[in-house]
Amino acid sequence: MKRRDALKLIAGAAALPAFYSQDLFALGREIHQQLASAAAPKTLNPHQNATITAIAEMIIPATDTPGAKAARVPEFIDLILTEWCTGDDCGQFLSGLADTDARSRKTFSKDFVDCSSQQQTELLTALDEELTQLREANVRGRPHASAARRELETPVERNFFYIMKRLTLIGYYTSEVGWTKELGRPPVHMGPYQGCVPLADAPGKTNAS
Amino acid sequence: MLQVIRSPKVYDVCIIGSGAAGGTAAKILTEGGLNVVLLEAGPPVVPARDFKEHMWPYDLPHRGEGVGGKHRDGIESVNDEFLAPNGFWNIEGEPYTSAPGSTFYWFRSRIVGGRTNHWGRIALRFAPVDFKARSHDGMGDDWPITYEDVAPYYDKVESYIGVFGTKENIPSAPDGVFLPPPKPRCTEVFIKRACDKIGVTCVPSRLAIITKPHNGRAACHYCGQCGRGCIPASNFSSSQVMIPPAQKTGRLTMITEAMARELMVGKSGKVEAVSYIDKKTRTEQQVRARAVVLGASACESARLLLNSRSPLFPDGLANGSGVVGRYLTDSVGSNGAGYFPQLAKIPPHNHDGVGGMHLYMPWWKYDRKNEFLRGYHIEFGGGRFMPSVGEFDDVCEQFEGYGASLKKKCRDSYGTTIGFAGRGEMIPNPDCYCEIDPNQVDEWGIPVLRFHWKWGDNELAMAEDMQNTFRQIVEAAGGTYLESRLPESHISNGGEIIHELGVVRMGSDPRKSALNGYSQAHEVKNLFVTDAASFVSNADKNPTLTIMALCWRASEYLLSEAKKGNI
Repeated sequence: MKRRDALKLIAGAAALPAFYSQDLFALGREIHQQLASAAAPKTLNPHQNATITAIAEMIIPATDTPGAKAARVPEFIDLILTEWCTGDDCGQFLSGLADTDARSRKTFSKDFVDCSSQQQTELLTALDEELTQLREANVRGRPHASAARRELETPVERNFFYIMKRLTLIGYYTSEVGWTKELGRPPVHMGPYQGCVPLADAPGKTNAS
Repeated sequence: MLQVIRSPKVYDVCIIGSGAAGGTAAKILTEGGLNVVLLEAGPPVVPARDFKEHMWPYDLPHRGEGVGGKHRDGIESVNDEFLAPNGFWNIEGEPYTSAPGSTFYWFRSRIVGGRTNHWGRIALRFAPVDFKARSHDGMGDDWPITYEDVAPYYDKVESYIGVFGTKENIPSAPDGVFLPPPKPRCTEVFIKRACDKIGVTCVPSRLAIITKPHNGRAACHYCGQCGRGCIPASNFSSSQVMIPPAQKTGRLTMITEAMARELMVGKSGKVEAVSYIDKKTRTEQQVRARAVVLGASACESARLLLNSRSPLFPDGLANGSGVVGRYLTDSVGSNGAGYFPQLAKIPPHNHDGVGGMHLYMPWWKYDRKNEFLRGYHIEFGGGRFMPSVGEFDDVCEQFEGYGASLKKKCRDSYGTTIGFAGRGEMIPNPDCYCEIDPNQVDEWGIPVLRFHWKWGDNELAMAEDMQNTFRQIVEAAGGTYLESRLPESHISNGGEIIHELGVVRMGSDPRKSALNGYSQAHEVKNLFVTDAASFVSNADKNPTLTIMALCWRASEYLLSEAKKGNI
């Protein structure tokens, strides 16, 4: 959460009023369906896509709720790489991805996607530990630098696994699965506003169209 | 040399801008029988097309971030894809500059309705003391008018647009004409309890959102998305509530994508025409009128006056006093947040409500001596809102590990942060002003503004007090106050709160002010400046309601003067 954003205070939760929103609801669905049909990745090749899919699912696995793959996180990552990454950042990310395979081949003589889940866990845990060390080195290395400077100078944000984790969280929690299944929000208008009342006691909670 | 096309028609009034001020002037003047031409620098707004109400993040490709697929860094990347078309910190082709050593952000809207399409709808009256602060503490200047002069117009504006709130009898926050407020959300009840414990006043907020059907508009349906624009106009925007009645009179001619360049003065010393760039054809046009009402936004109005030089007004129109561009202020802003793990245990509940806070803290320390002069109010919010891009960035940054444990960490932290934003009064100082940059023009050839900015000690002390208060509230509620990661950001940048104003101020002495108490230029009787440029002080009240009240008052005065033949 960007705490400095004053606008955060005016950006509320989404909902759907039962009484007039049919068209808007349809519009939302339409866009969503367009997304659904545009499944072929634009930047990632099939191997890269398979690797991203495996890593994303390990970061946010299916538990009592679906995981990153079911939430179509890899598609979101491909979109960001395609539309927002500058060449340099994108290249950095993709070389981090290639490096994951290189480590995998060095240790287990096969690509990441072909490893057993135990081997994959070993590889990702190493990446996560390196990220932790990078973070600590950042703090230790510049004891006099203000937090602001550290934040600006930190290479943590250029670390492949950090970016992968962050994009997975963004893609997952802004997805339909993340919002409705994991965070438990009915994706419907919740009726007349009742104030601080448990949903179980709130009349109108099911008046969705 | 551009070909200048002059319209043969002479309108009664030319209004520049269509936001809180321009829209109000258009309504009052056309309903009063005048023929009005309105110049708006941006395109029309079409709510059904332009407002992203009721979409989930996954209904938009970039999940609500960016505009038109463009990623924007820094303070611009605030769920842009969802927001009503609202303007930007940077507009391509229309730059502004900051003097060396100054940082100033200037938010500009180029669309019918201006910033009212997306604003926070916070509608607070200035208090009596806010108009007479110098008499009270010796700093700044008094307004030439009193609360009693403006109060009837606050009544009119609130009655017309609809504002919810409650009668509280707080001297620093006068009551208005209120619709019933929505009930507080769970997190708001929780924070109010802490405020009660430590003696901080916490009452229902006052927002221009209608909780009952009002003047032909439907009551709020509580989707909580006011910032995206409201298709049924249950919240207030000039484009949906002020402009339509003006159009209904048949006396409003609206010219969009018309960027005003200069006010043309005749031999009599009155404004006779407005020169503007038609952005669609890139031609210069002129429209003639018997009076001109500026509502271009404070700094744009100052820029227009400063760019309107003539032998009669060598330093800019209506600027014999030299005050145009001076006395620039913004609200003192400081933000903080508390972490409340206990909120994870609240059962599922409806967190939606209106788009914005249901409760707020008006200035409560008016009855004692403080470390600083003037006051501030606190806005706050948090809980189980729809996750936006970056919602779990903190977890990502602080939590080691991945997999089921990371997923659980996110679930547990969801809705457990409550943010606080202090908004306080800045006292004008000589280091804060805008002027014409002699070295730069925009893509239309119009000289741009250069900003100078420096907070005074009073503002820095106030921001520190805000931080202390946030911490006390958070700790009284049993939470952990989250230190800002940017210590220097305890106070906002100039302009960042988007309450920039004061640059064409009113006053009773024409040597020290540009306008009289009716927002009419001392030196040019047929020129009115009705946006927040006219403000003498920037009280801790968001300015929009006062802009509309002052503009309503100025417009009625203009009407009566026109009837008497004095314009």
